[in-house]
Order: sequence, then C-alpha cells, then structure tokens
Amino acid sequence: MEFTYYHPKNIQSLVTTLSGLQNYALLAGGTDLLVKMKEKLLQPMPQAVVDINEIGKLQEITESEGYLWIGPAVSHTALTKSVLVNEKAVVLAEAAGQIGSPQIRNKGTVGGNICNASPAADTVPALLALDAMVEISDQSGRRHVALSEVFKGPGRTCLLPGQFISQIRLRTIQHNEGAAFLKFGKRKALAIAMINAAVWLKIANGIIDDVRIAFGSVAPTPIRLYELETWLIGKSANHGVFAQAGVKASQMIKPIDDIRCTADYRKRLAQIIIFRSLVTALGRAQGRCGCE
Amino acid sequence: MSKEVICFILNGQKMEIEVEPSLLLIDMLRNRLGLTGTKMGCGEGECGACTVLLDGKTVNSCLILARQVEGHEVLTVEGLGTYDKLHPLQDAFIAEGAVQCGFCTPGMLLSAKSLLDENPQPTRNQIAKHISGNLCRCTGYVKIINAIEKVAKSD
Repeated sequence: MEFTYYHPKNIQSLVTTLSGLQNYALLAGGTDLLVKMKEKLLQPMPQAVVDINEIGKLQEITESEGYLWIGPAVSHTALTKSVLVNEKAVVLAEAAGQIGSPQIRNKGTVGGNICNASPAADTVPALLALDAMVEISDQSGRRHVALSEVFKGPGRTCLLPGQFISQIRLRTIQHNEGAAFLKFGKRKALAIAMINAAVWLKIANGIIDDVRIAFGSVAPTPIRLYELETWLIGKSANHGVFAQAGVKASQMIKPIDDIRCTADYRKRLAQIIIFRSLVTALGRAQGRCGCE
Repeated sequence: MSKEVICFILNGQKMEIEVEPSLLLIDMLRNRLGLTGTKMGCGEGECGACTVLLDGKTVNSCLILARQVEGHEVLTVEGLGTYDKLHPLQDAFIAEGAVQCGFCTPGMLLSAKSLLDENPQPTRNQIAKHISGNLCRCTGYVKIINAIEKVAKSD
C-alpha cells in the first residue's frame, strides 16, 4: 500500500486536486476503502488518496423548500443523531443506525455508502424511498442525477474520473406521509443485510395516493420496485393489500444465493419485509408509530 | 512516498511524529510508539480490538491513516488509568471478572468510556448496543455489561 496523500480544505481545491490525478481514491470514512486497499482488492491500486474529511461543506445537513440537503461526508452517527434528519426523514436515521457497529458508524459516511455501490448498502434504500438526487461535481461544473441512475452494478457507479458527489438531496416526509426502513441480517450488529427495504407512502382518505418502494440485496444494485408501486397506487391502504404487495414483491425480484443466504430465503424475507415496512409507514402516515 | 510530521494529542500529551502516508493509526501506536495496549484483531473493522477514541468517539484504529489524526485527540487504553490509579472502569472489569483472555478488554474499556462520557446512566440494553462493535470470544458479555453498569450506578 503506497500512495500520495492529499487533503484539500475546500471544494474548489478538491476539484483542482482531482483534475490533476489519474489514478486516485477518495477517502471519506475509509471503512470500506482501507479494507480493500489493505487486501489489494482494487485494480489498479490507487496511486493517490484524496481525503475529503477536512472539507466542512461536505459535512453539512440543511433544509430548504421541502428538501433536505445532506453532505456526502456526513457520518452515519451524525445522521442518526441529527434532529433535522429525525424530524424530516427519520427513515434515513433508522437505516444509518443499523449499519455495522458504533465504530463503523462514527467513520462511515452516506456518500461513501453510495459510492461503494454495494447492493446491500443500508442507507441507499432509505434514500431511494425519499426520491434522492445527487449533485455530481467536477471541473466543468455540477449536474444532478437521480440516485437510482447512479448505480451501474456491484461496486460500480456512473461517476467518472474527476467527479465526486457534492450533495445529496432528498424529499422530506410531509403530513399524511410515512416511511420505514427494515433490515434482516444474521445478527443485529456488524451484519451486512441479507435483505433490506425502505418504503414511503402518501395517504389520502385511506387510499394510497403515492408510494415508493426500494430494495437492497436482491439485485446487482439497490432497486426501486416501480411495478409494485404502480400496482399499489389507488388501492386502499390496509393490511390485506400490504400482504398482497409482499407476495408480489417476492415474485418480482430475482435474488441470488450468496454467502449470506439463499435466493429462496431472500424471496421469503422479501414478502415479510415489504408487508412490515408498509404497515409501519402507514402507521406513521396516520400519526402513530407502528414500529416499536 | 514523502513522510510528513503530524501533530496531535495522544493520551493528553502533545505528540509530534514523522509518518508516511500509508501508515495506519494502529501501526503507528503499536510499532512506532510502543503502545501495545491497542490490539490488532481482524484488521477490517469487524472485531473492535483496535478501538481507540478519536476526539472522544470510538473508531477502529486499523481503518484510519495515521495522517488523519493530525490536529485531533487520540486516547488509547494507556491513557485511561495508571498502574497506581486504575480508571473506575478498569477496577470494575477486574472486580466483576469481566476479563478472561484480555484481548478485547482495551477496546471494550474505551467503548465503555465513550458511552459513559455521553450517557452516564445507560440501560443494560444501551450498554449492549454500545459495545456491539467489540467482539469478545470468551463469551464474557454479561460480566462486561455488569462491570459497565456498576460504574454507571456508582456515579
């Protein structure tokens, strides 16, 4: 492991640093990057490491006009403790709070969770359920991309050399709306999800007015189940419909067998996780907590 | 690889040391500074044996570059108590039999300290959750939780 270390102090300096480098890695929390570098899992191995932790702007959480803006270098611990996130997007605080261990959450970041592009990333379904958009910056400026468009495969994103995520924008949860995140792992701590899911729904007169459903660990990337969302819109928000949605969800996904569990078991979990998260989200939309 | 001098606070003392970019915090502590209380376990952030406090928060020192602690404060188990005057958590770990092989103990102590600094009266459940990133393979969790609870209740 040999590299040159850069630690830009602001975004402009980061842009300039990256534009002069060929083969580099961005260091946010380092909880995945350093493991991969130590085990020489990156090809090619980066010649430079650019630490973004000294850029204060990338660690901000702000709210404006129905959106939360989250800096990519915000740690999972900061997300779980943020009053703003707990009030406006509690599903993200819940997802961040179930990652790894306290030590990992103190270092790991939401931007790192996205860029690492694990199909099992915990914050990603929560972000997808809140219709997240990322701002991608480079030397030529900034552009906005739906988070669902960022993932290209396990460990692969649409980010090109010189580009980085400069902000994450998500919709705040409004009146008559509710969201929930659930995860099944082998244990409560330090477990990568066998399956995880987040749902968001909006209710009007007992009818599902709008819904977003996001899944992790069931495909090469975290996914939205658009087909199931379409099926749910206009239906009554009740447990019977949610149970049917669970069955449909398990039929729509094509998970694989892996070290954590089998595809069959994932399909069984899918049914349960969708049912339970819809029930919780509905409870919250109706003003009561259906989770604990 | 160009070496650079970094400046930080280690166990309450100002420290200056020359490090190369790829040096990990744990290797600096153990191999350069002789502070072998911090243990190297899995090396990938699963076991928590290498836990130290960085600005009061628990981190895995095997997943941090030494270069990254520049300007920050690091506490290792060596800074917790002295042989003459143990930290209350160390006393409680001994009294409750919370140490078997001892490999997880330095990390457990630091996780416990960060919990009590933040929340002096935690429930048993909160204690268990807070030490969930520290694995004990002697299955001593109950006694470890008892020890931490004992310190919390004595305050």
